Amino acid sequence: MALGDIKEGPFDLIYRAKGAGTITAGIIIAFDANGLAIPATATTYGRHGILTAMTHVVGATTYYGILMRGKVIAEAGAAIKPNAPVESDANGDVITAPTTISAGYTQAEIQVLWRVFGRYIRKDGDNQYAPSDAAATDAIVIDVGDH
Amino acid sequence: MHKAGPIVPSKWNINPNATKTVFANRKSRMAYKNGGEGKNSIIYLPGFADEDHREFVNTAFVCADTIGRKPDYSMPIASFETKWEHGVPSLDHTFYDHFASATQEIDEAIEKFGYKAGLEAATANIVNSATIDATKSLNILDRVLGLQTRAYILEMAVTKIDAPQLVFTVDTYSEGSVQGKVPELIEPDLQGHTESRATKVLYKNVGHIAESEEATMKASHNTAALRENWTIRDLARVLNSQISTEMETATDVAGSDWGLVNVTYGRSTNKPGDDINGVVSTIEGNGFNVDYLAMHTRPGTDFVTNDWVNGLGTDRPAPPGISAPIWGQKIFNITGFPQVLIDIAKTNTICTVGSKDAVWLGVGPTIIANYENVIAGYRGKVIKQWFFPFLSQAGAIRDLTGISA
Repeated sequence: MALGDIKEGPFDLIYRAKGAGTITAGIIIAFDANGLAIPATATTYGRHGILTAMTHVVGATTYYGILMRGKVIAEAGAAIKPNAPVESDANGDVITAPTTISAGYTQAEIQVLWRVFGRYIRKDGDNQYAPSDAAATDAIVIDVGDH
Repeated sequence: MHKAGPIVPSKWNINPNATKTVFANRKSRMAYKNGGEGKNSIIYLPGFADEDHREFVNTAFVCADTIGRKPDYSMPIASFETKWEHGVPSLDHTFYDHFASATQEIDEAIEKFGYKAGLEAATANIVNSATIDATKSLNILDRVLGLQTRAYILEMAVTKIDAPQLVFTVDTYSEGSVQGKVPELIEPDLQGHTESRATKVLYKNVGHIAESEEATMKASHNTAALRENWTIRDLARVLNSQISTEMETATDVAGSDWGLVNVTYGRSTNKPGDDINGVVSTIEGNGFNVDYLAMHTRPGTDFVTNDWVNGLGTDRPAPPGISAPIWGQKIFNITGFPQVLIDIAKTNTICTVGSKDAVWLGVGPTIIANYENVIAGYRGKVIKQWFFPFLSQAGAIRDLTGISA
């Protein structure tokens, strides 16, 4: 399946207009102060979703379909173990979210909680009962909203 | 040619080295502006204008060609003559009449009809392939590519077991041998007997398709029906592949390359019969009939083109017309061998030799369900089948390995 394809239901899909930056199907989406869809980075916080290939055009405005809950195809930005909580890298690709909080915890460690948006399930094409590790650029199945 | 009294000044001297367009008068300027740069430009041809228009010497023309290559010989603007005064060159003009109105006429004709009849020059507005590209006709064929499926035939090599409750049990008896040559007045030993049971649970193969209402309505084809048809065929492919996998868990026996040709004698080096007869003997020795040879297309080709099979062999030529099957047949018989099943799902180095009683196929129910999410607006179909291919009798099957390369 292609990046941004919905893999399984149930799912929640929302449509939003685009803010600054370039967005392509399968990347992680964050939202700016006006609620517009922008490409996620390593420093975007709050709810994230995955951009699907669906669009909804009203007049001159294109609204982009963003999956906020459900299983969808995204692109790995680095190696990921099955069931790892995931966040965005600088390019909007999926990477493992750090889960370690030191004894003298830092703000950055806590803020990870606002970047995690889902769980890595398996590579697209893996058997559902035999997930394997993802490598960078793999098309992977992410359960968005499960974290 | 309209060489008449000019409606513009009869003399109009310009600098012959001028680099920008200069107009004869207000009318010609207006005509030029209305036409637009490039749309209706002016071209000056030094010397004779053309073989067929030798009356024009050093003449400027209207040019309706957008890139200004071809003059319109029906629209001469002015003729020029270079004069030298005190060592300084200048161009004297003699204007042809009605220049302004003529250019206006061309502009209007092009605007209205896309061309002007009688123009020798091509106009920019001739409709060509690029013009109608966005609205060109469509010929959408009924046939859709990408849905091809082949025949799957490995089900012919199994024994089907009904399993409506998704399980089947295989009970095995092991009987002792009868006692031979029993002496007089001796009570024979009782035969031994053991029983064992293996329970197999079927697994589920599922095809799941869904599409939005909009996709259904916008599609050029009956997408749902095409996908459903393909999904059913793909379920057959998956099962065929699963049967192949199970068949290839049989005991391996090393074979020889049936496609190998002896470079000295130009004929097949190895005899498939040697390999096949060896495992047939084993299977029959275990008490089973051998029903088939199942193999991939490549070893299948090696097999039927082998000199020792197709009739060119010297020790036992097969009857012509019987030995060589029509290629494309996936199920055929060759004299002296079990029935051949060709299926590309098999590994391309293995020929499975066996009895249909070796691999059993547990066949469970098939459930087909349509569903619809009316609120979100999509329809789906799920096709579920339960199967379990099981190599139940190991003595009834062998895999000849390394028989093609």
